[in-house]
Amino acid sequence: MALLQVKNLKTHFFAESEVRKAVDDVSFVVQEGETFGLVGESGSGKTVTALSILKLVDEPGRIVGGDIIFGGRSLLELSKENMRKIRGNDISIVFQEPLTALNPVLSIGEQVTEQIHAHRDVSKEEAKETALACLKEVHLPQPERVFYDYPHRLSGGMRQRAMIAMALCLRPRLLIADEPTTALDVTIQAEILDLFREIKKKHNMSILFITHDFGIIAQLADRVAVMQKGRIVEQGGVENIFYYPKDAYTKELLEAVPKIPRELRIQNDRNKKS
Amino acid sequence: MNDMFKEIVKNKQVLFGVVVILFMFIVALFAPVLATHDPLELDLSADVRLQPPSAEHIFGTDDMGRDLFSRMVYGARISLSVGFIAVAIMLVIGVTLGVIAGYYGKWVDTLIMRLVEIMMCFPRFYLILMILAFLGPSIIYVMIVIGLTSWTGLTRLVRAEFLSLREREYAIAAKALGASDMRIAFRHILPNALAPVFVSITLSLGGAILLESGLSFLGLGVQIPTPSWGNIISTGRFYIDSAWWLTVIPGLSILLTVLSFYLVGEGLRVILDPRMKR
Repeated sequence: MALLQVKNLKTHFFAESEVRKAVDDVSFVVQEGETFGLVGESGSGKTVTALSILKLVDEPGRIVGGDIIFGGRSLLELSKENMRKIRGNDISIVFQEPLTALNPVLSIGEQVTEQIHAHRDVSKEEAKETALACLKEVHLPQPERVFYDYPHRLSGGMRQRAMIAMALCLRPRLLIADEPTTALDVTIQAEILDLFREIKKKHNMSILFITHDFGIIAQLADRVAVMQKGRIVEQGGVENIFYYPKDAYTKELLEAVPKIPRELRIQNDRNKKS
Repeated sequence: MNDMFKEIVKNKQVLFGVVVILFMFIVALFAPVLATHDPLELDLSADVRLQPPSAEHIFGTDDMGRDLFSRMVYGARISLSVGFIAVAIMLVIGVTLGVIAGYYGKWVDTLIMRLVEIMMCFPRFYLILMILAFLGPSIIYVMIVIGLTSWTGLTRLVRAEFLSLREREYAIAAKALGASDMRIAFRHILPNALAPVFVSITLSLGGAILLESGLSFLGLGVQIPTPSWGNIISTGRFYIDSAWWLTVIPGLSILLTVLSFYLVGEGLRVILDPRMKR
């Protein structure tokens, strides 16, 4: 069943005299329990697509056409308050750079409980309990200690885990991951990807995974759409796109990946041994 | 917090300021214990009036034969509480308007900023003088009027902080995860904007105490016989050539207290400067 349907979405930015078509007539569907990859180079409109789904596009940008249907409801017709209730609760997002996405003056625990209080009418103790469970779920070591730690005291990987805990603690049906591993080094990246896989399986959640790295898509996604200059140039099952790319741009992107993931992994293993 | 404590101890001018302010606080708090005489007790006999400092009257006596030390101690209470209440009023108005203007921007911001500019057009001291002339002098009015006329700088400060902070990714992330405007503004952004607010609070405390002294000196603030540092100087000025202690002692107290608040404010500005953090 389709959880999220993006239909002919158009998000344009209105600069002084010209119109920038950041997202131009984009359509795709994310099925229930599926990981959908959105690949493209910087500036291809991936992030703006994600922000449009959450209705977070700010002036001078505006959604000028199309529709976004989530769980049978059109998000574009929702009021401000109803949209707020969807964010973080039904649709969550993990950003690229966890250090800047976490608040430097609030402890991890405060941020996760804030997130719970924003959506649930629970006591402080209940919120803390839920928060600790979330921190455990994303495999943060010593969750009781991390709860009182500030973001600058955590490593990059731990910060991203904390971000994921915040995004996940209310069990959203759709998780948007906007380049969540780009700021991390390769080994941590692999751990975080494992975490996404595990969580998805556990809660049968859908993931919209945005990246410029075809290697990650090959490991994680069921289906993929390739974006260029605000348009989707090609979409389909991962294997299809991988082995039989039709579009010239997709071929270029695939060639830009040094090696296909399996070979890359074998090489990594060899490197580790030597 | 521990680091900040170390910074304060290391910074000599802040340490000096903190010690003086704490001292004044303790004096104000324990005024009834410390006072050697009743600050309001009159004794017009010639051998008690205008006596220089002695063992019996540490700071001497004033023209009505009242013990200056006891009046100074009670005056500290008045001066400090006027300062704190005025600053509390300023804080509530200034921060709230600054948060609203900086967070919402657009026409709300324009409206509040024009209001601030209009307020700033009036020379503050004369505005206060005028209002007090209408309302009649009283400590309560002094506190309220100082508070109501001093929030403009703080509003501009908080607004400026918010304009940059609301664009930070954590503010956007909080919104993306469904935090309401109130939560984003007060729980996520405001704690990041507190450093300059703290500096402003200390500087304003010094300013408010100075202003209260000025008003009391002019007879529009605290009314005699209730002692305040300002009105002690005010009565003392008639005897400046014969009884120096009546002006010098309260004058030095005001100087020392206000200077301490400024020193702490300036020091905090350096300590809390984000460019010097980690």
